[in-house]
Amino acid sequence: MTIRLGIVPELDVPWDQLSDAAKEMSQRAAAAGSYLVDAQTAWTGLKDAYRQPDTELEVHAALAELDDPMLEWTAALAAARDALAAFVAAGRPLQAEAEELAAARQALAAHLAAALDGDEAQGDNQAERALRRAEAFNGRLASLRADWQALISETSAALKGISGGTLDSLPATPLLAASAALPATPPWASFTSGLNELFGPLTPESYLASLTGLTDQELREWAAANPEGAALLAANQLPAWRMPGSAEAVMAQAMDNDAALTEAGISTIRDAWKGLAPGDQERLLLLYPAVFGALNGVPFAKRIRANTITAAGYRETVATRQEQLGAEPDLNSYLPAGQHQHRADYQRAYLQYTEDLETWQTEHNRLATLRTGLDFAVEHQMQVVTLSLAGDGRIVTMDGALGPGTRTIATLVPGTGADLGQLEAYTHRLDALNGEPSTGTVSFYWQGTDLPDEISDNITTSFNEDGGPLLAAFDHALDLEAQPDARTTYIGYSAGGSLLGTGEREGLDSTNIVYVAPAGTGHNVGSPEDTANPDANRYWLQTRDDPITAAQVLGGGYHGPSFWRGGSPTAMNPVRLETGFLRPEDPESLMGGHTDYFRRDSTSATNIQGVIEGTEVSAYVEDQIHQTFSPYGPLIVSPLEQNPEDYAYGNLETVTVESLEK
Amino acid sequence: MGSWRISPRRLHMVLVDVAADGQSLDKAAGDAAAAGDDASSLFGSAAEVAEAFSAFWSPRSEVGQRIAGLVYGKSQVVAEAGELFIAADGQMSEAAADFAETLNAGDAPVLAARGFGPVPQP
Repeated sequence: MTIRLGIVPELDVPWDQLSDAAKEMSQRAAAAGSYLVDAQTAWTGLKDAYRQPDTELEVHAALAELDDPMLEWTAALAAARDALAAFVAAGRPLQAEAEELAAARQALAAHLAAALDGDEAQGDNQAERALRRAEAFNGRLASLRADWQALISETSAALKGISGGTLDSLPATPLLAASAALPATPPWASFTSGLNELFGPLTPESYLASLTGLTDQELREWAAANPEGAALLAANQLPAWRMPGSAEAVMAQAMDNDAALTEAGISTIRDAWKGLAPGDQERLLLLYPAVFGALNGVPFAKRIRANTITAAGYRETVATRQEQLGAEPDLNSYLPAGQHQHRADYQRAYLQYTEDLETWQTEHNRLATLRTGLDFAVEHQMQVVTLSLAGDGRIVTMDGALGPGTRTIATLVPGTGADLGQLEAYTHRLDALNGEPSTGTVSFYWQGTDLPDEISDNITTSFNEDGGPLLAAFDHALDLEAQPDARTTYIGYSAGGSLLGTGEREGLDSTNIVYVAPAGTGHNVGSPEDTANPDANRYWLQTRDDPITAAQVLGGGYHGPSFWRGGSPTAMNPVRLETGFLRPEDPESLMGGHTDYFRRDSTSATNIQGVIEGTEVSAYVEDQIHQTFSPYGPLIVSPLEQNPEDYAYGNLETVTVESLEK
Repeated sequence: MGSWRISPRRLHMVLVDVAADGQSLDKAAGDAAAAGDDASSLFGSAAEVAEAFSAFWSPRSEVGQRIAGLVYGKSQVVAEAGELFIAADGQMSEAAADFAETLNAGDAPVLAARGFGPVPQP
């Protein structure tokens, strides 16, 4: 007797993905339906705004004809979702059965062959058992085939049975059909940007009704559709006269005397804010987004919500200024017309031209810088907790969700050359130090002040003295929201290192301070005792050939305790960590210079991340000093530079961060 | 053509509100379309179901975005019509003329071009 094992059909449907896609399709269609209802509700305002006997009926009813097509469409997609959900529910176990049968078939076939065929055929009992198993296998296979085919047929029939919701359901001759073909993506922003010209500008208060109650995502979409409105709101300041007892008056009083810069003032602002009714809080955030979006003491989540409008509004403001700036001055338009002009006239025209050109270029570059950062912030939906167009632009962003479960908080303070245009580059640098953002891990990029444009601009204390108090004030605001036992780390890079030290002098405190090739220790800061943060754990990373050394030696008057003492971070007794390799598996990739500390997966970035998370770090590989009889003194050699292969491939010795902490 | 009352400020406010909802509508419809397109390629060996879904999806994939486009187009027409009447109102104030006739004669074709149905003949 012979029996042949059936072939197992291959079932390879990605059930989870299919299930997710079907749900998403239906959910987003339902959301589209609810937005149409919202649009229709807004549209009813035309009954009052648009009264013209011959056309008003069509105008007022114009959106109603979209009701049925939308309902049909969402119902059809929901029916498809249900059909696919049933397909997934029934198909998944069938696929598991097919996989089980496929896995069992080879062994069963071998067993069957051994029992029935060849010279070593086993006894009757063995053969009978093998046959029974084969029959059972084929029986399961037949059931599987039948069930699968039935499921396929049922699902196909269910999908084919869905009616309605097709393009045919749309009105053939819609009311108020535009004469031109409709664009693929409605350009609402350009549409609303023309409304000021057609109907006159609105006041900020006019926008409130359409803004109130929106989710954060809807607010973002509102700002995308109404950039001019967002710009108007972003420029809105608290009124000079305020109704006594109003939310505006309460907050103005709390904000008085630069309260947002002091610890006590920030607490007062916090208390005042918490005392407002939720409706008033929401109104202030939406009506004065730039004011309350930057105000220390207002919860970060609220600031982020307000700055959804601020960022979109400032982007529109800058775009408008770019348009107004116009094209580069043209020399020909300066030169006097006609012949027989005096040489002095040409000279005067040329001087005027060069002056105007320089002014134009400066403003052109500044606006381009601002625009670059704002585009990035808006398009990448950055969580902005401070935004300003002052100077080259200022911004503070947050990654993650700050809350009771937040265990680690890292803040990166950037260095020379940081401006709004550098937001993307620094965001990537911060990303290299972070794990995945979450409620447990939060990070900030703090460029809440102007930083020197060029190295040569560092010959001043003003950046430290202007920015230090702002950074300390940010930290006070953060302290109000962070859990007391949260592990906080500030990372000061280059000029941001001395800015961070000055901030510490002004009251900033933190679990860890990380100096990354700092310009100095902070203006008038020469020891931990000069700060409000003497117990912090301090770490220092710097390549062996970083040119910042010159600033640390010579710039003590601006970035350290004094010119004579210099600004070397050694004055703060930090633990020096190794900068090692750009790629730890490549001994030829030793890190050097001033720019690569935040390269993802580098020794340096890994060490900073180790400090942030309190895991492990690799200590600096100390130089070796060999005494010689040379007139040039002892020979100093870095073992790491001399034999990098001894330290690459994960051979750098690591220690726990805990063992380094105070 | 009779008298009319069009409030520029209110019209502006309504259109701003509709624009925000229209933006969200278009985004949601676009997301739904993208998810449906994704689903189309996720049937693996279930070719017959893939075919049935494709037949279901093909005439429906664009419906949401077409509705979003129609909301935009209608808003555009209302804005243009509003502008037209407000401009005519301005002419009336300046010339103290019988603006209704002027509007009928001059603007009926314009209104027709903007999708209004039966437009009064001059």
